[in-house]
Amino acid sequence: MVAQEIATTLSATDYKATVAGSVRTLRGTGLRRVPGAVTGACILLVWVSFSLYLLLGAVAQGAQERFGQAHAGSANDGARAEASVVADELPAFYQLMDRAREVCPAGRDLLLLGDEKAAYELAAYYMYPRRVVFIGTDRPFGSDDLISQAGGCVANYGPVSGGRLERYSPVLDPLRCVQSGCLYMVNRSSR
Amino acid sequence: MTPVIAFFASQAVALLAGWALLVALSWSRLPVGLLVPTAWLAGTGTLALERLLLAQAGLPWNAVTIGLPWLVVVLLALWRLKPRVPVSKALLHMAGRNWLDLAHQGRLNLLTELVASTLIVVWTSGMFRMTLSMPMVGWDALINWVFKGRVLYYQGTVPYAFFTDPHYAVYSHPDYPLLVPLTVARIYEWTGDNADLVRGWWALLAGAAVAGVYFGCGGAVVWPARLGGLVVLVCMPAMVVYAAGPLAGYAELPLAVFFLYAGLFLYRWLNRPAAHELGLSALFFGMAGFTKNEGLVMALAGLALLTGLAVFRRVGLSAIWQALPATALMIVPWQFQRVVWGIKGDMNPTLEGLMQNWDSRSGLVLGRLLSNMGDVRLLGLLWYLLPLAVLGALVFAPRQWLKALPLLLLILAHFAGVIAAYITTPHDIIWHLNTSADRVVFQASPLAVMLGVIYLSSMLDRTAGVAVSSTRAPGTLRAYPRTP
Repeated sequence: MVAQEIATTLSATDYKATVAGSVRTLRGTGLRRVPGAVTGACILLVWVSFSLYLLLGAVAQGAQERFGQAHAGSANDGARAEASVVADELPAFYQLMDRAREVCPAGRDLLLLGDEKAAYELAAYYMYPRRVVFIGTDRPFGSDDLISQAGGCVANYGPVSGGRLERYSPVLDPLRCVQSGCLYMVNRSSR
Repeated sequence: MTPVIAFFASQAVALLAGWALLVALSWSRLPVGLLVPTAWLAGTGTLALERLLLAQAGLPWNAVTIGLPWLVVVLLALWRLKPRVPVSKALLHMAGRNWLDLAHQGRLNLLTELVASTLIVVWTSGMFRMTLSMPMVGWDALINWVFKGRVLYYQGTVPYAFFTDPHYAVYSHPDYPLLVPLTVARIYEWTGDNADLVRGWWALLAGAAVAGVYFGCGGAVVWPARLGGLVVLVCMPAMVVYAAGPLAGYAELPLAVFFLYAGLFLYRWLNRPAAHELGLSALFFGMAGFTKNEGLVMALAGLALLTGLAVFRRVGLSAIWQALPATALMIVPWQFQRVVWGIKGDMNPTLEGLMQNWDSRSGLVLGRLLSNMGDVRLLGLLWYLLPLAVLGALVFAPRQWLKALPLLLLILAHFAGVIAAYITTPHDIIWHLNTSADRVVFQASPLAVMLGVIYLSSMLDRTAGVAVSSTRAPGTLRAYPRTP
């Protein structure tokens, strides 16, 4: 039945007129559009295909690893990594600072012995409005500094600075320790 | 309330606030797929601005001070929503069709829109999940944006003492505009101090960018090109890096999204001169200027373009007078505050500095920017194919090429501003380029994707983007019958 209908339709069609009409249409408008449309379609196809290639590559490799690498591999990342010296240890660093906010006297500065200035900048920001007094590895540190801090808190961050506090351990009450640093309350008896 | 639910509640509030604002201003006649991200972004920006204005007025941030102005907005929105004609069955039917705005399209189109919507939602959810799986460690993200937001959250205001304290000014860039820190502070009001969860905002921004390109171009761009643009953005590694990867938390993505939306509404307005599209473009230019200093250049270039085009197209000064305050209201309060508090920025480009350093630095700067633009691992083929698309459209569809020219000029203005900043930088030029050149390239990338899509569409179908100007733009709401 359907085949019969198609056959009837086909036989009734004036092919000559249809083809002539199509050619007119193409000449009139369509034909001029073809190069532009082909160029546009090719560019779009290349663009989308390459994007899909990037995505499939990322899926195959594990998205996080891939995007981490794509970023880390860029020339710009080296300089940023230098600035973010404590980046990998930030969660631990926050724990230290959170504890300081919790237990250290509100009116007192926090004394921070650190290997890198970045640790100080993060701490100063994190502890706001409390002040952080920073003692870097290039600055002398002695018992006078601890005496003036009696009743307050002192923290160290980084392997070199950790060693500088060791000999004062009798007057320091540990409050919290993480891998790269510790927070202490300075005993009032140190006065 | 768990922190994740609290986070989404904070975003729902921004969405509702933005929607109420758009309705109150009669700016909400947009397709649903575009209305949702536009309302959310507008709500986010205006809620940030409100907190700044409250701080400037010396008022605390609490439910009463924040909620009262919004009560007025909501009442105005309800008044606007009140039907002007008696509600009939036919009207309800039309309203239903308006809501979906898909009934006039074929089934294939409907299916495409649904698939695209699903893809955008699934991709954004994936980004959100990814943000939760890694801590925020980017230095600028913490120092310039999130920790600053944290200070605002704990202080409950924009504290003079912090922004003028030389102790912090050394490294915290107190001159930077405050949209991002104020948004962080607002989210913290719901979730508590949570630097990892707040990264979810960046994932949602990425979703808004994709939705903007796909739904925003509806009517002016043929669907294969729109779908292509969606795929390109979703697959672009840089989008993932800034939405959920190591650079989530930087202000680059918010700036890029506001820049994209400003350009998008400018293009929509060029296709169909409706005053609200001009207003929305101006609002997003203002939000770009309230996000980062580079955004100020974008906003100024955008304002110049909007004014020039409005005069050229003889749309009347009233449309411009409605639009300009939107930009000014976003930008001026913080810039005024900076002057009053005497906060100076580190970058102050001058013509003299530009001429002095041009010979020694221009090659270095251009080389570095081009190198970052050509990084296919991050940006795919965007900056390779965009010039081809621009050239192709110029040859094969010059009328449409001209129509999208303002977007190209915006991108060029952005790079001109960036180059001027690098050439006059007081910092070590190598260090400065190393730490930021890839980011300033990304700031223009979503808009560049949209521009590429528009040009390719004009080559595929030269009637696209022209037909809409003569009739109702497809993808916009149907007109309600007028009162007899």
